[in-house]
Amino acid sequence: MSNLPSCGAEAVETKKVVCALFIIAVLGLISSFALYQTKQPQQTVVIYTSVDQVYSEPILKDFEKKTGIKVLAVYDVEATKTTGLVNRLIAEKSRPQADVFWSGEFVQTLLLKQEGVLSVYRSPAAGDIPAQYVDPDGYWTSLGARARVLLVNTKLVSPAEYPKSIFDLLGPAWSGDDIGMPYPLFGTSATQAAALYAALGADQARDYYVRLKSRGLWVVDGNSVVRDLVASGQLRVGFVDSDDGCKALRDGAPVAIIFPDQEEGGLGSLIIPNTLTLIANASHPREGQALIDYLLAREVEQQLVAVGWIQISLHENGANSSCADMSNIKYMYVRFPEIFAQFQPAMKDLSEIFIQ
Amino acid sequence: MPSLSETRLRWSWEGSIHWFWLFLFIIIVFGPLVALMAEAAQYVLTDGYDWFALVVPAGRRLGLLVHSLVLAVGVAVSGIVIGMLVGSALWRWRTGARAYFRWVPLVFVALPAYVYALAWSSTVSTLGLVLQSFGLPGIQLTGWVGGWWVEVMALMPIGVGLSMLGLESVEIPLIEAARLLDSDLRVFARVILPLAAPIIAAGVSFLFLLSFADYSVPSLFAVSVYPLEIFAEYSASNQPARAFLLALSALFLMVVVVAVSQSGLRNAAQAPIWQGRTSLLAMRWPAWFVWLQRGAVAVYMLQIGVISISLIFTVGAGANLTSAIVSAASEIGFTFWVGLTTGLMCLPVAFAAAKELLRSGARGRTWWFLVTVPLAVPAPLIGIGLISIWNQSFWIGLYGTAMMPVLATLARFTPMAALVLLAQLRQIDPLLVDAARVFQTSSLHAWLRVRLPLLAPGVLAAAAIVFALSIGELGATLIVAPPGQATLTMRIYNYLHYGSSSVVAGLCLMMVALTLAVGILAILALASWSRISEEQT
Repeated sequence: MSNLPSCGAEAVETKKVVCALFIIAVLGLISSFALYQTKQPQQTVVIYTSVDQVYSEPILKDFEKKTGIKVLAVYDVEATKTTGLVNRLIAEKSRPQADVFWSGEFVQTLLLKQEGVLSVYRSPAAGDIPAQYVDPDGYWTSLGARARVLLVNTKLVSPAEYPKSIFDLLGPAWSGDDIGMPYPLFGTSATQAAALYAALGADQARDYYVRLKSRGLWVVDGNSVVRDLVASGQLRVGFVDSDDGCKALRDGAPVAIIFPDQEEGGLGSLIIPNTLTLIANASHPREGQALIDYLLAREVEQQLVAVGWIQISLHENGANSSCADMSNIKYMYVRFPEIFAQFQPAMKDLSEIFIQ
Repeated sequence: MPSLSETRLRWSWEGSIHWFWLFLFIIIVFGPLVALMAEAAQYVLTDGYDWFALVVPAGRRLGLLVHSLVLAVGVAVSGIVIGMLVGSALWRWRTGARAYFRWVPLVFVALPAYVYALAWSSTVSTLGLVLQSFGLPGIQLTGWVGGWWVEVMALMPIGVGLSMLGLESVEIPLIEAARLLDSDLRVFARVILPLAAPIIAAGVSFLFLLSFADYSVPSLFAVSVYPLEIFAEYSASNQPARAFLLALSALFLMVVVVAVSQSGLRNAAQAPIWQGRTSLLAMRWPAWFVWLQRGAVAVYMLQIGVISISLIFTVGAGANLTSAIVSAASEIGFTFWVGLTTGLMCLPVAFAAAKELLRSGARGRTWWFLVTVPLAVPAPLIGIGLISIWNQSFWIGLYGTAMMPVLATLARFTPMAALVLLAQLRQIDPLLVDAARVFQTSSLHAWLRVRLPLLAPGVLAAAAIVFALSIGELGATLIVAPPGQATLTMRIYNYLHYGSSSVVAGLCLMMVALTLAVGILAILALASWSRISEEQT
């Protein structure tokens, strides 16, 4: 009982003041959310995007300046492994917050179309984009593209040794310790796997991944990790997106980008376009359409090529990135719906192969 | 002394408040889970032909569950052992500036484990190159050892912090009395550890839960764990119900481990840490124990050194730091607000839940279930559950506002605050509370004069831990963040992908500074309260 403080009136008053201040602080914090509440001006557009913030934010700021329409963005991150904004869009379907979804790839967009999250919008700015990059039903339109490529460390691999095909990595010249791959269950690495399933058939594609895994390759946590491991010389070769390869080159890393399977009869390199969609029952459909039109303009595409987010222009006579020689690149010919159809079966197989 | 009727009235008032907070706990913490459960039930009843295979892991999935269990137990045990050794070594720093300084390393709690992984990988890789230059075999941080080591390093601040809190709560006179009868080591094992056990057990539970739920660090080191399987399933199917069913077995394991770690604990009546603060006479440890302590402190210093040096070197010139901070000014403000609001708002809710955890019987067991289960659910699923609840037309427009990230972090971390407060409640002498009831002039009076001072260390620890965890939260926050606003962690992960390591390092240093600021505020509050209390005695 000796620990019980005595009743000093002054001290009690002090404590009451302290307590009152504490309560005021708590109430202040709780109520101050109003300050942070999204103050939406009249002309607003809400965009969800899986494009890296560092690339997409300046473009969206430019749109704000040119149109006066305020852009409120939510940016996805690679670490959520494709479980972020797409699932948010599905969960919000009955009362959508977003007006526009700008995806860095297309499989998740096709899923959103299937889930009834998207609205039809045929942008006049997409007039010269080839038909295979525009949804025939009008739910999505492509905006430039990246490619799945191999990145080699030029200090560790001589030009004569460069792999020409992804299948070369199964050969004796490469050991598992040389090769890196992001988990083929997430992001564009998963898209590539689904594309292989569509192009080769399930049995052959599964066999490819089983053999690759059995070599003991490094399966790591995303394209950027593979890029950094190859750039630092911890790996000789890795599977990445073309923007990762170009980033490494811009940073001065000793790397080379290889578009695989270019030989006669080869599969070609997988092209992964960005996709733009209008959300069904969006709160600001007109502003959303204006933003889509803006993003699809040739000038914006060229801006994205210049900053390194996309490497391949889809506009007629649009310039490709100069970070690698992309003249006469042979692209993998697989229709996007076919890739989408193979996505779930491929993921089921690959979970069993790679998560053990 | 109040009359019987007044006492009943007061109890009724107190009881109502208590039930109000419990109701909020159910809504905020368990609400998202109820939404997920409803979705899972619907899935099972409609097209869930494979629900049994999802719920009961077999073959490969069972192996993954064992992987996760082994890794999490290893991390929790290592973390708490190192924490106890460091805590016992720093124990003598009980007065003056050193008493506060020893808590400073805890500011690293908020950093994403991923950042630790990058720092340690590059450090070990550099070390390997140095070794190779001397003709020695190089080393690399890979596989199980890599995953275990980085997780222990990332969670060590929590292990050390809770160990120190546990040791601090043991009354010195008890120790000195025991030392008259036996050796210091035996006193440590038979008196000090049992008295500190509630908080140490909370620490074990904490480290286990945080390690078990993490897939990012293990996957970086090519170690497959069960949460990765859950994410793969969710990513492939986009069905929260399937992911939730898959998470059930992990959830069951977590509940069991937390229950085991808490079982057998009895209330250890202690006074608040500042009352009767006396210097402990130097403990006479055997030489082998001293060497263990030195080893643990060396590891602790290494952990602090590697992450600090890595961040400072990576950020490079001061201009980089300035530009990183300026470019993220709105995220910094928003993150601070989310962390502080969550840290404060969780306290009454967590305290009400902690009181229920103290109960025995079915009611107590039910609350153990309610508190532990949310900890096991993957963060994005919590976010999806929050959307199901709050994105409805009948609410007053809360969805889409800045309160949603607060609700997300409350849903994730209020149970952790409840565990810390439970540990503190176990160390309060019920006689003191009863005595206060006898002499109180009002409930508020007793609260301010007796119960709050007794609870204060736990309250501050809970608020600080929840603050740090909240500002580092990603999975649920991303799902409900209001358009146009983002937290510092969201920005850090965005830049991690881009590969802008100097910006990432700058933002991480900012996060450390935020935690430090809140830690200093907490210490100042504790010191002020301590001074006021001492003035009265």
